[in-house]
Amino acid sequence: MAISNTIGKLAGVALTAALFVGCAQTPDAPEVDETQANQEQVVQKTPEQIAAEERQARVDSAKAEVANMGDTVFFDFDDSTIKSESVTTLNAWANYLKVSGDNAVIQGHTDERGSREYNISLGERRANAVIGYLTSQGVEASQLEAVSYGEESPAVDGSNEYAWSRNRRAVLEL
Amino acid sequence: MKLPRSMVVVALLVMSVFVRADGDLIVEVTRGLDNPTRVAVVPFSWDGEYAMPVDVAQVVSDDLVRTGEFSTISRNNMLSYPAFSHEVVMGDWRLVRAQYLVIGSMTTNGATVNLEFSLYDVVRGRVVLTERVSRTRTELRDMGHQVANIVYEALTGFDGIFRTKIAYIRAERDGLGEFVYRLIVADQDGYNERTLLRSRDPIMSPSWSPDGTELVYVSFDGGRPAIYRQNLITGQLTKLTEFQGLNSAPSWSPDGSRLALVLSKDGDPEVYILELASGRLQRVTHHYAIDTEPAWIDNNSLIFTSNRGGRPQIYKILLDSGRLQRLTFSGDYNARGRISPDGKYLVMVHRENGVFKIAAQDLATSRVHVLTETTLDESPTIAPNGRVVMYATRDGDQGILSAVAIDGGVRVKLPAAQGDIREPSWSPVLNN
Repeated sequence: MAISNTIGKLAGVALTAALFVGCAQTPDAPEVDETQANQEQVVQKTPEQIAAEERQARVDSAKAEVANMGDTVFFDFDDSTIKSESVTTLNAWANYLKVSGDNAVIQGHTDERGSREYNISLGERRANAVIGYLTSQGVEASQLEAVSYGEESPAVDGSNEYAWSRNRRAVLEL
Repeated sequence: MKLPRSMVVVALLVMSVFVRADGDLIVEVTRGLDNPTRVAVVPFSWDGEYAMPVDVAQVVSDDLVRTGEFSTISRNNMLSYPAFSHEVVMGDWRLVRAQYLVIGSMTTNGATVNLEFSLYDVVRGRVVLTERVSRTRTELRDMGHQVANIVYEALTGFDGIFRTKIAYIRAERDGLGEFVYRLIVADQDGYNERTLLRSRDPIMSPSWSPDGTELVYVSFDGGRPAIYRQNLITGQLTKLTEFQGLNSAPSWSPDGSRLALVLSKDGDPEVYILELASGRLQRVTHHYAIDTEPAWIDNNSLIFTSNRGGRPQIYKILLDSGRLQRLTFSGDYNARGRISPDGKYLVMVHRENGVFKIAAQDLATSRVHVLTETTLDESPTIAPNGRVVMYATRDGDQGILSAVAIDGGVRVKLPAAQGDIREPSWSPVLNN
């Protein structure tokens, strides 16, 4: 846990420093050709700055992948097993959470069928199944929190197979 | 004291323009007994300084009809409108095939309203009982419920439940499509709705204290669940638990000193008992499966739902010895159990042919009776007299409450004017 969080914080500090240097220089050199100024900046970069930029690039790329995959995985009725079709989405999230060190809340949801209070427990099972998968991929458990809403917050209204299949879900939220 | 005929007519005219002024639940009997008892409740006479505020006879009549055990004689078919014993002509009631007759006369004394009423056995041609009741002019629906209780108890031998209340949750979408949740307490007939809590986050699992003065419930206010206790008289609100993970399904012990509830702070959902005076927590279940929905049988035993056998089934546990017993074996989904006050029935959500119904299991024979004909039935709650089960179901796109006799047959729908109504919880008999 501590390791990835620390890396995240260091990356943040380094990035802030780099931005600050960049901003401070611009007003002091109004006459200088912009291309030349940029070249000078590149030359002045420390290895730490370069590493920070590379890290940021990895975070951005991982975030883009997460945005591409979406934030929701689905489940079968009265079941909290991670389906094989959910693995690519969860891998993208695992990668992002590892490189960024961000925290995520995993919401567990069920369809409207059966008992509400049982469904609250079932929703938590689903959220915990997602957390179990993410930690197996190297995400720290302390970055993750499960909150179950059971059948109380449906994504799709209606009492039909389609609505039920969309509502049996876990949603990852930063 | 004989009332002039003209005065009775005036009273009837006033009554005919009564419209429902409050409450959002409309009661509709969808199926009654094949041979309900036929009762005539004659409009009560009114000798007051102001207009009659409530049609009390109608309240009595509606209460009796809602049990499904009675049908009433329409006022249009009545041949006379007696308010006093000397005005009763038994032949008028035998002609319309009434088995029982209720008459009454109301008088005022300032803000106090007095009612003297009589119940007649038409077949035997004699008075069963005559009683007097009083209320202030603002409490006349309650007066009607008291009269209905007296009549019901005389005719069935069971305790009346017409002065009880129900707590339930209403969810509806606002103009922006966002959910708004309300915790509501109303009279058992849906009148006098009172919103206790309004929230943009879910509210769940209302449950009454055994003395009927407090509720416990789960609120997700702020996005995470916590269990609250609210006093209905003083309004005092106390947060009881807010552990990491689930805080779910609170249920008050019969002696009022403890709550059974569900926490997942140790990793998975387990049943705990919270001692209210000390705040001490005692863990009851120890299994990695889901253990939830505790309900008390008596002060030393609970039932709960567990999927430790693979699918949700209902188990019984003794608190002193920890002895565990599985109660349900019929079907692959039995959950959210409640035990009838006489200890004879386990009422639960039961899946049959892929749809969810309310069923009652006879605990002596283990025989399961499916009580409902709809699908998506859930959250059964049993009336304090053990005769009626109320539950949540769906009517088209809307969540509504329905009620059914615990021995099957009689079925009553309570559709809501708006929103989804869910999770009814029937109060104990209230001493007010």
